[in-house]
Amino acid sequence: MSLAIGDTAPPFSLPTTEGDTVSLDGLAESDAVAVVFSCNHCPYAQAWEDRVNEVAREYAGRGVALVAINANDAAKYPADSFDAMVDRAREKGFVFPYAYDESQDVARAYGAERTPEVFLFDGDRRLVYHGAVDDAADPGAVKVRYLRDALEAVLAGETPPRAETPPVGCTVKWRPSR
Amino acid sequence: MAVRYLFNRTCPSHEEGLELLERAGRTAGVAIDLEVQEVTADAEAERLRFPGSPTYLVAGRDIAEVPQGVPFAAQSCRAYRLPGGRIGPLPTIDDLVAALAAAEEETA
Repeated sequence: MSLAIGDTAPPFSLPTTEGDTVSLDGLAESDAVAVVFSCNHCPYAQAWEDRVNEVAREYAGRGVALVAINANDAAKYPADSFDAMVDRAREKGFVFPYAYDESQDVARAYGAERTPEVFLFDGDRRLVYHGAVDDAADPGAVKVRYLRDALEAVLAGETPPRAETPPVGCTVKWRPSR
Repeated sequence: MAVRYLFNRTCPSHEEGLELLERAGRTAGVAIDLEVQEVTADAEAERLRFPGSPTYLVAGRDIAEVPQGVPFAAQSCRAYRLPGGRIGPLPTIDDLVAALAAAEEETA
């Protein structure tokens, strides 16, 4: 089951495509943290990744950290392997840490179900928004920018206009043992 | 024109994908003899060489290039190349219309 609004962010420490490690503790100075479960192969993740990158770039200077996490089973989906993630991050010029949750423990702790799926935490690391990046996979059809609206609210010390929306995307590809 | 529509309901685009096909048929002026098949098991996906949901087979032929690095698995969502280099979960209606028209011409 996914985290509920108000829940505390589960800690994580994961390798990134830049060869370092990203952890929740390491983002302690950030006023808000967006954790986006994503992957390489899913068409929905691909449809939204440029917008996620734009959000990360635009809000980095406003105290927001954005981390993308791929937890998919790379044995079954080779396009989601760590090496493929490195290639994807370079090709797309990701400005956010793109982390690999090989054990899938972080995805389980958050209750992630889809890619992409956003968990936005405030300065106290309480969940304030969970769901989709915006309301359309087609960038030309977007009417409501859920994540940006939530970020503006959090940075203003307010409650996001929508706390939850249904994440639209591929299912997280769990290992067979689950 | 015989069209097989292969899908898995874990991919959100399956209903929209069918509507797109119906619109493409009307636009192309092609009568569609539709077979809808839900792929629910990986063994079935392997047997069908199902590259993701939704997949359109027009007169037995896939309307688009099969993506690489994605297994034949029931819960794979299909990535389609769109104008401008974008990727999306459905083809464009123009691609569907072109596939239907080409198949119709071949069988005429």
